[in-house]
Amino acid sequence: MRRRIRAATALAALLALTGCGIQETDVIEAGGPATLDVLPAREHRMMAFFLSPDGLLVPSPRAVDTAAWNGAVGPQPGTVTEPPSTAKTVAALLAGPNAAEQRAGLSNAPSLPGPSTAAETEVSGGTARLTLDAPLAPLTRTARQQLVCTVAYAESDNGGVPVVLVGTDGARPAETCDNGARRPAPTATPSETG
Amino acid sequence: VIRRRTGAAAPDRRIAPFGLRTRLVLAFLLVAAVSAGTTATLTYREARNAVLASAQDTAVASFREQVETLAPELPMEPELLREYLFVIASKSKPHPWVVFAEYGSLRVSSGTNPASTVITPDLRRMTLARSRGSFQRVVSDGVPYLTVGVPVLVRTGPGSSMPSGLVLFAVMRMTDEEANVDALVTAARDGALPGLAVALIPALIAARGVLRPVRQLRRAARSMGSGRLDTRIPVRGSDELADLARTFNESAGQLERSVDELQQAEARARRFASDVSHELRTPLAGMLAVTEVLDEDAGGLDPDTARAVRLISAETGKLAVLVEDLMEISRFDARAAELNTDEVDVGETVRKTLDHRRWGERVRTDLPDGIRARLDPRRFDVVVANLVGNALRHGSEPVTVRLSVQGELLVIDVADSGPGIRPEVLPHIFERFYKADAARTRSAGSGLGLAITQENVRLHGGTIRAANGPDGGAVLTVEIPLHGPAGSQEATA
Repeated sequence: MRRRIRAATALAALLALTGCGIQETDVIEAGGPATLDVLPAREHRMMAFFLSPDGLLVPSPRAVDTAAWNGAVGPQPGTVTEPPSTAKTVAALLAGPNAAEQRAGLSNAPSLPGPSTAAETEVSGGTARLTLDAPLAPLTRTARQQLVCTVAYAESDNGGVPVVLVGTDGARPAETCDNGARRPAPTATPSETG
Repeated sequence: VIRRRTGAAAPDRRIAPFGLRTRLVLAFLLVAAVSAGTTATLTYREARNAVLASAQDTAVASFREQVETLAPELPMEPELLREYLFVIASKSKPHPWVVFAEYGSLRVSSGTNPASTVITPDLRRMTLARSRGSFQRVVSDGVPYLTVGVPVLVRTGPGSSMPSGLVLFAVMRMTDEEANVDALVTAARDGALPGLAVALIPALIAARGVLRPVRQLRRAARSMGSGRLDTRIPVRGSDELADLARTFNESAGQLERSVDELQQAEARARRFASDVSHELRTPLAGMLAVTEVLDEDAGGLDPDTARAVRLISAETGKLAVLVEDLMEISRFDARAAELNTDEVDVGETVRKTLDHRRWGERVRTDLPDGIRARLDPRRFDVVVANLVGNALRHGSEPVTVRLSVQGELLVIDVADSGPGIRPEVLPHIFERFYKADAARTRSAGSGLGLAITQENVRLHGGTIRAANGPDGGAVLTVEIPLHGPAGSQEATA
């Protein structure tokens, strides 16, 4: 009898203790992210992937100043502008973050080849190919991902294209951009490329 | 058994600390407390969680909605980003929040500090690593905060997007929710405590329902123990207590019947003894008359016949005494003995008794004059005569009769100078036909003398006891109230 009373008292005390007031919680996932369009619009930008201080791949959309790139007149209102070529985007990546990007703490992986490295791209059979005039062996995984993601997003809207890196020391197996992006089902990917 | 039961029941007038009532009330209260407490706690928890969930969901959804209205240029100028954050902060819902933004090493907020002290590294890591919104409740300095982290994704095409590296956090104080939750605690407590008080009422009613039959049972048992065998309990309802009451009534009925039968058997036996002695008296009277004549004529008979005649005469006389004693005893048994009291001088009465029996020379007396008492002279005469006769017969002379007054009691001591009474015999000498010596089956007396003496003393409301004096002789002491028996004895007489 006494033991039962003690158990009941303990239960009551336990119930009373488990939380008056507002308790702390762990981190709880709630809903999706905020998805939005970033300026400049897709047609007027090129996207290089730099590294944040946390080591994450961060896209940096840059407005394309056609005049700066081609030495010609800038896009006129009403005219359709083509996005800059993939080779130019890679060149911009290798050139490193600009002032605004540096202010935000973005940087290149140290193992990336320098700004003057020649780069060529071609697309065949749903796979992009980036040929660099530099050895690939010193490149770290993050450095390779910077290149892969930059090429993949330059060649396709959603960055789903596999990219084969070719260096002076030979080709590497195809890689895809692994930046936590959401993409539609893979079957749709080949039709997007081109 | 009944006697013991009443003896044990005597001290239970007080309220036992763990009696039935206390236990029942405690059990009720415990059940009520546990159920009220559990209900209140569960309700409170549900309500609290609902309050918090509602606030959290609203905050997370509206924060994400606000963030999605942005169309930032990346990487942003800190001043421009700050402008955006002010816009989001101005549309806080449900409570004002402070917005923090992170992009690379950039830290901007709508508040005074660019970085929050409340946002935990866990939330930051989760928000950065996963493309999903998250929230966390944090209590900092006793103030509950809701922290919400939403990563910004860049739309890269229909249905596709990628992390932009921009992460926004909102920090909202949950003061209102805290107030609501506190109100819930108060409400739960205010609901549970009256519940306990209300539970006291059925507890007391139930205790009463159990205790009343128990109390009746106790009263009935005590009443039966004191001899009222016709006591019954009212049987109410059909529960276990009613069963108990019914069983009690049945047992009481059986007990009453058994006792009735015993009493009737005893009454029949008494009546038989009385009838027998009555029937014997008439022929004995005739025989006594004849033996007197025979005694007178015995001198003229030859010696053998004369001895036989005298023996018959003596035995007939004893038989007559025995029959008289038997009749007297049966009158006592039938409670038909009457006490005819009179105010008398006790010393005078004793002296008369001794003179009448011609014992004056054989008995030493100490009879102070002027002791007056209210008693039945005839019965008192029988008492004194029996005691002195007994002393003369079984003890040895000198026999002393001493009269004294102790308080309200008249005390008569009759002492002999014999060897006294053996201790093992002492308790039995007032029993009927008790023989102190088993071998001596025939004695001079009827065997009823002391029994009749005791009955007479009792009729006077007095007591008689036997003991051995310091010199070895037996001392029989009679104590009788000076002013007659108490009212109760007069009523039964």
